[in-house]
Amino acid sequence: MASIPHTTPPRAIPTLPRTSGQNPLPSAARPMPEGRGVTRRRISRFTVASFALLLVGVVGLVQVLQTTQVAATGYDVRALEREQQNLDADIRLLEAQIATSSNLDRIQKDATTRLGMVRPQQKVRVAEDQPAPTVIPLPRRYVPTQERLQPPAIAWWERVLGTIPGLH
Amino acid sequence: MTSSRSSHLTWRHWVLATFVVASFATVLVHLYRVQVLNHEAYMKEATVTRQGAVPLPASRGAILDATGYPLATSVDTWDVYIDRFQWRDTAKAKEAAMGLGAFLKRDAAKLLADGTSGNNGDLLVQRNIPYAEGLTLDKQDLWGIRLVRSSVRLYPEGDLAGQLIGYLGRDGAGLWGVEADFDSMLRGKDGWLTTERDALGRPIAFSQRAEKPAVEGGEVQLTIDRFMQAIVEKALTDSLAKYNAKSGSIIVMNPRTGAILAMASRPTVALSKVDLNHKDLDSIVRNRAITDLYEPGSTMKTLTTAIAIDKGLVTPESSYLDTGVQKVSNYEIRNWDFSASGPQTVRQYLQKSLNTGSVWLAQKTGPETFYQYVKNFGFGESTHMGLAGEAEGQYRTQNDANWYAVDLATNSYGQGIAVTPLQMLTAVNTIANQGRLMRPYVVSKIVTNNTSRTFGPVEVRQVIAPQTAATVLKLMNDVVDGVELHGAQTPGYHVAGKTGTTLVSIPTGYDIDSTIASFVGFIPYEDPQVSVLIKIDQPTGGLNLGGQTAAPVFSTVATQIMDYLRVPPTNPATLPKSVARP
Repeated sequence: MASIPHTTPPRAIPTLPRTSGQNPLPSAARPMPEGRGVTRRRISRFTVASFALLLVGVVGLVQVLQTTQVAATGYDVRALEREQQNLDADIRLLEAQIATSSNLDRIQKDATTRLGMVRPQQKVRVAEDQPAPTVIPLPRRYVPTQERLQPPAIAWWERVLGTIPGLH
Repeated sequence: MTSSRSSHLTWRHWVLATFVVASFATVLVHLYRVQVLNHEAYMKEATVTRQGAVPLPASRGAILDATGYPLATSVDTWDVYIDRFQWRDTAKAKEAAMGLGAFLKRDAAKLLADGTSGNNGDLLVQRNIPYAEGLTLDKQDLWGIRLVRSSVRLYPEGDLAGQLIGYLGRDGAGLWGVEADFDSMLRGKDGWLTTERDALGRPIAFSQRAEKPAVEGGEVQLTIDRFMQAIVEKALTDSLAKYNAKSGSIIVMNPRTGAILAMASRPTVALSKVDLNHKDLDSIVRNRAITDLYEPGSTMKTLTTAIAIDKGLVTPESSYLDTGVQKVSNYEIRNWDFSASGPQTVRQYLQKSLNTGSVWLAQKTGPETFYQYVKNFGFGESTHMGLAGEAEGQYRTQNDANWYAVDLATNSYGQGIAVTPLQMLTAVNTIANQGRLMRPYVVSKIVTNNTSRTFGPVEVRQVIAPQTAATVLKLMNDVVDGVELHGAQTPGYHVAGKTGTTLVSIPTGYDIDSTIASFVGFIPYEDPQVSVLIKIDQPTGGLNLGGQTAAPVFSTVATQIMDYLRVPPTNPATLPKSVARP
């Protein structure tokens, strides 16, 4: 496909007198380099400083928030640990009470006094072809050893935060 | 310009400058010394001052019976302390003393006086308050009151098996029994928690802390069955009272496995009221079934017979002439009742428990063979059953300088040989176990934080042939069921057993007025589920023979154990008014 010839004549660039050490025109009026269609704006120092302060503020805020969260979580963990200790102690106490309640002397005493039972004068033996039921032991005296769960894998954003000094 | 400024400096300037520089230099040097040279030492001192370690006591593990029932267990408690350092603030101390006194129902003035006197250390004011009460007290946040976790040992089954279970000292260490022998497994490992504290010793919130969690104590499960133990203990207590006996022991075992199902001795200690200053503490806490030696008497005749039969020297129908006396060297050995029965078979000699028959068999066997078997039966060495304090027993052999031919004769019917009740029952168990000697054991399982060890039957050796064991078992059955009105007969079951009576050994010989009455037997004879040894020391109530005292106790114990184990009767004809449902 044949190209259409460009008929527009080249634009003349006005020449202005220049004095050394002085910019004759404000930046907005300065001529743009040839072929560039964008306007270049200079960022003021005030803006940079403001952004820097804002960034520092945000980072500081994140750190404060995270530290607060860690502290609160730590407090929760310790409260839960205390609660677990108390529950463990309760379990041990309850199991001891269960055991004491099934003390043989106590059973016999309750049977003869409270329930009015007497020792059998005659035994009746019944032969069954089924095995006797197995004795169900009391619950374990202690909470079974709980294997510590592996902590979940660290997320990428946690690793990034971890690289920031003071956040880990 | 410089030169003009210098010209303005006077000597006063120089003095001042020198003073300032010197001061800073001094401070810098001191800082360098403190923070660099002595950094570690000061750091450690600061840590000690700032950080407080809180012990995290480990819960002591339970001792369980064979069914899983806790015979000894621990529950958490608190010990209450007064922090005397904080109680220097008398106004706050007074307020705290009022609160503590009201809570503990103690005299507040006395608490205040105690808490504000003496040094600055903590003062223990109350041990082992219940855990829930401790939490309530803690919530009151009384000034200078500190709670330290502790625990107290409970024995849910009361005083049952006190000698076997053992007891804890104030330091939490076992003093005897399983508590002492398995202390390292039961006690666990205490942990600690270090936290930063303020000047008053209070933990600082969100401060650094390090924790080593406590490792819970392990559980020790015994082969003892609390139901059988209760049966045995009651029977022993009743029999000692009935026969006015000084002491005694009963052991129940599974003859096939060596598991000890019940073991009791009297006198004993009551775990609910232990007096560690008791003048006879050693005597009452001693597990006599494994620590005390005795001469087994005629129960030994079962083994003498087994040896002779195993060597093929006699059969149950072999006979000898019982003239009432056997002469050995210069000694005359007579029957216990001074009888002379004429021609007697091995079966009859056992039924009548004739000493002359034992001497006859031992002489046929010879000392070398006899003592080799005695050794194989486990006499003269520990059974390694797992508890401390077990005696090994003793006897002389033909290789000892002070051994005489008469020793063989007396040893054959259980005199001149010292054994423990456990050794005796273990040896006789071979007869119910096809001749195999099993190692007795009382601990079946130990479960610690991350390990579980199970202990099962261990066969030590084959002592006699299975046929010999069966033959002797039948002879033992004839001893009980073949003798009219034998005290060990148990309604509903065939029993195999043998009585024993021996005089009490004293330094000058034997006390002819004191006996040790015993019985060892199996039930049911056809398929022995349990073996039982009854030993009653020095019965003084007029009856003092094994057949009169120990055998009836066997019958009492065996009847209840058969009911408990639901063993079908093997001899229903002997059941009184038994009712059979079609």
